[in-house]
Amino acid sequence: MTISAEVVRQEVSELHRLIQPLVKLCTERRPDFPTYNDTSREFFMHIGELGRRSLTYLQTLPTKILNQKYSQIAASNRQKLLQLKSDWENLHQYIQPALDADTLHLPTPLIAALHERLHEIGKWRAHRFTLFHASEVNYFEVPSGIVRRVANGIASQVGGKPFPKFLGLIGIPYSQANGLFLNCALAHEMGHFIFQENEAQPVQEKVDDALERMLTDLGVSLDEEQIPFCRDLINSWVEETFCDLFATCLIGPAYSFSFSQLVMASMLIGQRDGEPADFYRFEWEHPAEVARFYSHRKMLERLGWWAEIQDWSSAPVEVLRICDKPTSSFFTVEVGGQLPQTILQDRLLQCYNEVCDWLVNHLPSRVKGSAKDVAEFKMQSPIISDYLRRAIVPSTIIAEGRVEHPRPVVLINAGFQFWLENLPLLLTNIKGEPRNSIESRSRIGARLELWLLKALEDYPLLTKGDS
Amino acid sequence: MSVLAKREIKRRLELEITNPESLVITPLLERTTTLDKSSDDTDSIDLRLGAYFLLPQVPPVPFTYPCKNSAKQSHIRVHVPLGSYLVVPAHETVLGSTLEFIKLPSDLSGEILTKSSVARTFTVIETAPWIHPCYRGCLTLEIANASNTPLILYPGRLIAQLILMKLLETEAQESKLFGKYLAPVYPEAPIFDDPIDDLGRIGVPKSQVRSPYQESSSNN
Repeated sequence: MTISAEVVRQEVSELHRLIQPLVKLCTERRPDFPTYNDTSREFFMHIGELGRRSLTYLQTLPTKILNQKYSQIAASNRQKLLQLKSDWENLHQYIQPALDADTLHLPTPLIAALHERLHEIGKWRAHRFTLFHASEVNYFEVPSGIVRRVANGIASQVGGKPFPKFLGLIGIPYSQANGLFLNCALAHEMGHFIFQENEAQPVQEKVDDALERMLTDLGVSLDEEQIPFCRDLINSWVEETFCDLFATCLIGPAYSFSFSQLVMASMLIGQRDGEPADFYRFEWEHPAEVARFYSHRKMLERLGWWAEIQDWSSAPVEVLRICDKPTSSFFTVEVGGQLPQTILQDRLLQCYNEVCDWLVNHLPSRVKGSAKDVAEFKMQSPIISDYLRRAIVPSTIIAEGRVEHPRPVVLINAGFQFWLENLPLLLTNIKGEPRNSIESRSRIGARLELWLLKALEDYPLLTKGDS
Repeated sequence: MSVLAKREIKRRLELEITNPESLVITPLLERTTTLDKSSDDTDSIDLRLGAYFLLPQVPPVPFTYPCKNSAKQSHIRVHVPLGSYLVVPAHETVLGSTLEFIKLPSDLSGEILTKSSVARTFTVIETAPWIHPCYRGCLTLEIANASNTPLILYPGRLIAQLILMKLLETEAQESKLFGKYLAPVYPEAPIFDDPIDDLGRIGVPKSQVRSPYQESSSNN
């Protein structure tokens, strides 16, 4: 059946109409305001260029289709429009949210500090992240393969460059863009990208080994569907735990505290064992929170952080104290599919625990630098607290008569400690500020985050220039 | 009152924060040069322009009305990263701040002045130059381009001089924090009470306080 030229031109122009505004958004931004991080600019430049090439491709496509002698080739070229449309619809969801995340609407100094910390580790020096605003109160990494596949799918069709290597995309709740503490959860999302790009294979081998051992011990065999089901399930839990432990190695207990805040884990305090049940439930996407906190604690012990924080009287540390066992009779597994009858839930969790134990030992050799963080935290945290209780940005401190500039990981953790334990000291130190007022705590807590972000912003200036 | 020399400024900067005499200026870049006692300015510390600004908006009414709501409506916040610049049109104003966060002890006052070379471009950076004892925060700069040509401002460049003065007959001691702008790190929009409340406190009856909004609408 022949297609009229008018129909082809109309459908191509409809797609052109869809893409053109996206190209404008990415390429016709003011150079001065708002401002973006380098990684956001890199993302916009790439998408803008892909868009321009797509528009050029569409410009000539009707002629190619209509002049094609062979109707099957013409039909095939026309069909490609569908894929191109689908790929652009996929990218569409990230462009405006990334544009909304300019430097004023992101915790820019924290993001820079996390990048710096990551780049201290030679093998991840090229890894970087574009952040975008998410509508939900959650942090997530767009699986690295997805954006790359979509962008590269467009590039192969319209003739563009491949998606930038080692560039990840992370969503951050739009309402939390100016904070510090909760946003420490970003370190976990960076972990997902690292896992997917570099670290999945050795971890998956450990999962396979553990699974095989379990089946041998049980003396059962699984069918072709059951094995991938179990493997995928444990892999999913292990990836989450890998990211938790990666983040803990990267920024210390601050990550665990932010996660505690994100899931409101303080609800575990003062409850009977096994309650609230939600915290003991393994789901497909993640292990039970109680199991995760146990892993955090093991890693903090391994890194030497636990000795520094175990006596704190704050909720997230109490949560870590509560979660002191790898197993619990209250654990449940709800994974939206049937576990094989022959596999006991406990044995599956044992598999998971085996891999977690391995991660606790394995990751510190991959994410180095914690020992220095712990040592400096121990020395500088009380001094940083003295600065914060006086409402002073602690980017330059005097320690035993010496001028020092605390490193970002130390600042973040000392700031967290102050917030969790000593905020009332600050409130008491401010005339007319009611110590028990929730509004005061929230407002002054936000100030505290600003001072810490300012200290993070000062750090590279103080250490990289002629200071 | 006596002006502090570099030697005394340096001494105070190196005191532990628990010492009531301690002074904080951070980030103090090019620290060695800045605190060099033999430099030309023996009685001041140069300060740099910060990277955040509040640009005044054209208000929806033909006047600026200092009241409780004015902070919400009067400015647009802008970030100009180091290396970029901000253009201030001729005869226009912008709120900026120093890059440095300052903490003064209770026995020191300060004054912030436009650096002389900057002043010669007809740039005014401060209309409330006095810094009270115990102040802490980045200093807000009320930058005005009084010249006839647009002005380029680079965050990170030197823009101001801080002069510190010892209060006579005062010993340094720790005191409680106070102030409407607690330790700001960016320029912050002004905070006012409503005129009706300010004037009420000195006995002006509410019925006598005229609102420009009512007059504006009645004129229309």
